[in-house]
Amino acid sequence: MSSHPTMPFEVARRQLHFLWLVDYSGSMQGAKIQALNQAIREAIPEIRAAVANHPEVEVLMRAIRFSDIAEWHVGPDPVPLDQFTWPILGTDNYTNTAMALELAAGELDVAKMPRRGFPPVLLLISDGEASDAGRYRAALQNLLTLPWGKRAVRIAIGIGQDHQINERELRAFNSDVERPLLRAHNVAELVEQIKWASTAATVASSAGKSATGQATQNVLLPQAPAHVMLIPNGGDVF
Amino acid sequence: MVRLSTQGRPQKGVPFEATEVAGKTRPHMSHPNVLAIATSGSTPGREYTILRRLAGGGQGEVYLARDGDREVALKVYHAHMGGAEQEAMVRAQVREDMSRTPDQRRFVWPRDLVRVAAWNRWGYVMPLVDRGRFLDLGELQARRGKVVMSPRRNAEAGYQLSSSMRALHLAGHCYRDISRNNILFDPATGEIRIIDNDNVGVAGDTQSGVVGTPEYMAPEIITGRAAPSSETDLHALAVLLFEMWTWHHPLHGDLECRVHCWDLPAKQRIYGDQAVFIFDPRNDANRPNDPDYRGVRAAWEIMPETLRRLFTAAFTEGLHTPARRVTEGQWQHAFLQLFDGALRCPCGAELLWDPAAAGPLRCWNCKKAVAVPPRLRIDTGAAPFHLPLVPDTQLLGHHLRPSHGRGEPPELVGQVVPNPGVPGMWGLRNLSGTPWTFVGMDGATRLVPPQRSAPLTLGARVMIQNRTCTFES
Ligand SMILES: [Zn+2]
Repeated sequence: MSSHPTMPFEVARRQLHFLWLVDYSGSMQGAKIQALNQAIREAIPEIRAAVANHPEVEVLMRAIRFSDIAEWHVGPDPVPLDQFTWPILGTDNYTNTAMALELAAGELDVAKMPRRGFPPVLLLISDGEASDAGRYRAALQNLLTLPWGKRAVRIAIGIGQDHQINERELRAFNSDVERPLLRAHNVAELVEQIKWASTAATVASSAGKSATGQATQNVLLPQAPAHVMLIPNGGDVF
Repeated sequence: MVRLSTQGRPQKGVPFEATEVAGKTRPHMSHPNVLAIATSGSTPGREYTILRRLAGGGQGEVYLARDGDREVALKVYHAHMGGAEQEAMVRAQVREDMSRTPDQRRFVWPRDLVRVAAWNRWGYVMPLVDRGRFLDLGELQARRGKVVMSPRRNAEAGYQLSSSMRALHLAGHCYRDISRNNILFDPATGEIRIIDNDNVGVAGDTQSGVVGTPEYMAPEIITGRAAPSSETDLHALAVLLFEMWTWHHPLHGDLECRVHCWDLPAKQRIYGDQAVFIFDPRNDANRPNDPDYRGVRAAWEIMPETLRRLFTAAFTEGLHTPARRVTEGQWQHAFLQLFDGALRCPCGAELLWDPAAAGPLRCWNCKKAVAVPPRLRIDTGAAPFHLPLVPDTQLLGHHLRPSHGRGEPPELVGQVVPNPGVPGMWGLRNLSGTPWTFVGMDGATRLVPPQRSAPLTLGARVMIQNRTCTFES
């Protein structure tokens, strides 16, 4: 049967721009940055699998790293998901989250974005608070004025214990500010949160899923799985 | 109370300072000795051993489980999804026997309600579907070039889908969530399976949480004016059938194409009250003019005329007037006809002869005109059924009574055979138990007893089971 001519069907595609915004400030040194590198490398095949049967979705990926300055880790040219590889990230000194948002906003400009796309995905991963809080607020404000920025699926993941991160600051980044902040207290959680957020956001942005009522957001992002993590007795808490 | 994650036992958290990242983490581990116990269904108390996770979804996760030496699928609801209403719906489904007819058996139906004590969750057991054989539409599209569904298989799948939905609606149910995610196809045979049936409810009952998948929602659901019903199922069915025949959404034309960011507010605009069919003959506002949409234009061009007419009806007057939607019975009849009208062009392409088409049949592949064999026109009371006659063509019970659907196995009524005495002459042999009446061109009638054959004579008629059948060319 396969030797017979096949119907000339074709799938029309839309682009989905995925941006990693990754903190590599000094406090990320050691297990955190290693876990982050590993988690993102493991997340890529899972995202690929999640959209493998959606040929209408063309995922293009980039990454911004930020410490004292923000710069392209992968980019600025978007890389098709099936060619995307994650270069190992080391650590540096500061936490210039503001500049990372500015760099991202520059790419979400209408002129640079596709004619036909899905809501972009912005995944912010940080273990501290922005070095310049005022500039961060301004950068976020600007991002939310952009047509593509305000429609983006924005998820922040806070790494570390409660006193180390600025929960309010990171939550403000989330497209759904009602949601609890995704937290990673340890290696296992970080890997799991990165995989869940990257895959769920990609699917929510692009693939049609069953809905259960009136939506309050512009995409239907499922609830993050609830977790209880047990810290072994005697272990050091970071 | 500590709530465990659905991934089984809690993982031990290891602080970053205490460890290096070693090896792969395994978020979905195996579940040795986790038991699910049937609480309702055929055998309360029956034990299922959960083996491994197969898939996850918005409502819960599906596991492979063992029941003795038989493997089954077992869905476990997330804590926040499996409410009492959902449980009551599944409990009612488990009580219903959906294994009596071929139409019913295509539903992968809940069999046992189960409790998973170790996770403090409930779920249900259903038959396991071979996902190597049955694929969803996205999988079919992604495998283009390796596995494709031939036009005839596509007609078979369309028949099975509309026939099963008709059976479900006749039983007073509505499905609520027909979409490409819930219908699986065997591309080699056109057989289908309908999965995720736990949202199937009693029509008119609004208890279920699921209102559909945006792409398949009727405008009145999108705008919040109506709840899922068998009428909104008809819209979703038409959208999915259109996608099976074009690989494109019927409302994705210029209006959709101009939307930069395709999010829910945009879908509400395009699928809601302003929805316009891309091939609406009276409104060209939403034509698929973009170069990227050449696929759907080509597919529409070569689509059998019968389907073009039905899709046009479904997405013009049927779009905003639920009572005018194309019914499952209309789809059933069309697909039965197309299935039996399948021909092979000398170039190798499979064609579907379509009685609604004017002019000669053209091959969609080589573009040449293709000779159409003579037909038996069967006046069924509703729309006539046209059976192309080639050597060995079988006349089946459902050709005489299309509205009754196809029997399984089909009832064999007659077959085209050569006249052993006169080379080049053919007849329709009576393989039923009752005699037919042959009416010749001169008006004279002759009896055609079982095992005898009526000569294939242009313009002559045969009375078969109270149906008038005419030989045409
Ligand atoms: Zn041909």
